Amino acid sequence: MNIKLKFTAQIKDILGRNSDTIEVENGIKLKDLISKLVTRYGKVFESILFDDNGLYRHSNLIIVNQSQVNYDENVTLSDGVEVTLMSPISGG
Amino acid sequence: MKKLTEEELATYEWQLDVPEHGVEGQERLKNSTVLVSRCGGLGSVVAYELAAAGVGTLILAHAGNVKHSDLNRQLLMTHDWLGKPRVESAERRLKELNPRLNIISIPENITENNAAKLVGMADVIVDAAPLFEERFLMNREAVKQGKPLVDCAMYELEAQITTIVPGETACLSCLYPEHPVAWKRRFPVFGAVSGTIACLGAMEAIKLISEFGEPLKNRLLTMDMRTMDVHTIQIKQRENCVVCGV
Repeated sequence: MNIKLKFTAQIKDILGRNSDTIEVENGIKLKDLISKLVTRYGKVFESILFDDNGLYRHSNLIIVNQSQVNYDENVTLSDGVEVTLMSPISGG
Repeated sequence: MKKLTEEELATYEWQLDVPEHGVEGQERLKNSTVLVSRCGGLGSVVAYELAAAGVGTLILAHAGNVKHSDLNRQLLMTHDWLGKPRVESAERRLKELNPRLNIISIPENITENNAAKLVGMADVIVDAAPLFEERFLMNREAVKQGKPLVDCAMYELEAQITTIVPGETACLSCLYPEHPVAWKRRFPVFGAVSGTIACLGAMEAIKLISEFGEPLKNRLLTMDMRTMDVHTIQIKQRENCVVCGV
């Protein structure tokens, strides 16, 4: 099945793109998807999402089809869903 | 509650016709106090729109003097005020627009020393600060004192806004429970981006004070002005939040 990916702010900057699509096994869990993304996008991407102890940085929001989900909920994803990774922004 | 004068009735004639607002809502605006911190790209336009709308008192908190690099987005700062205090420039411009406006200028940014006092003086807080340290302080005090807070943010051509109502919604620390590691003080942005989301922030404050419409409670409105995609994301309170303690 396919999952649509969207990225904002610094995550978008690191990847040099604001969207992507990934083919994954049916019924994949969120944490497994994030692991695949770390493998695909590399160390800098990983350092934004995870601290030195491998713990998820929860200030990076995860949005599944317009609803926020927590990393630790580890929701099951279905075919065609859109997953957005948002790094926090401020202002000034 | 102070009533509207004849001059105010004439000035606000067009918005008095907005359903559910009217004279009562306008009087609530007149009798309200809004804290805007800071008066940069976001805060300048928030303050300008609130001054235009007839908010009675604005507390403006912003340290430092006007620099060239402010002028692409900080619309209350002017070229002739370069090197002079930002809050003075802001006050001068706002008074040109609305001489009835009461302005409390604080030439400081939000810190641990002033956050509780400034939040305590306001009915509504509009968070337009560049540093998460300032944002988290305002959020903590707003939650502690039960004051609604409108949080506006921007980066490049992206912008977002949510309205925090203590006891009803997720707070900023629910959204961002850890200090963001990737945020940098200087970031790419156009003034039209900050101005756009600032107008939405002003509208949220007006709705909260006048008591009409549906503020962005537990909703994060996101905009990407590169593509003009606008979304409203459902957000939620975080269990064990250190600030709102859900």
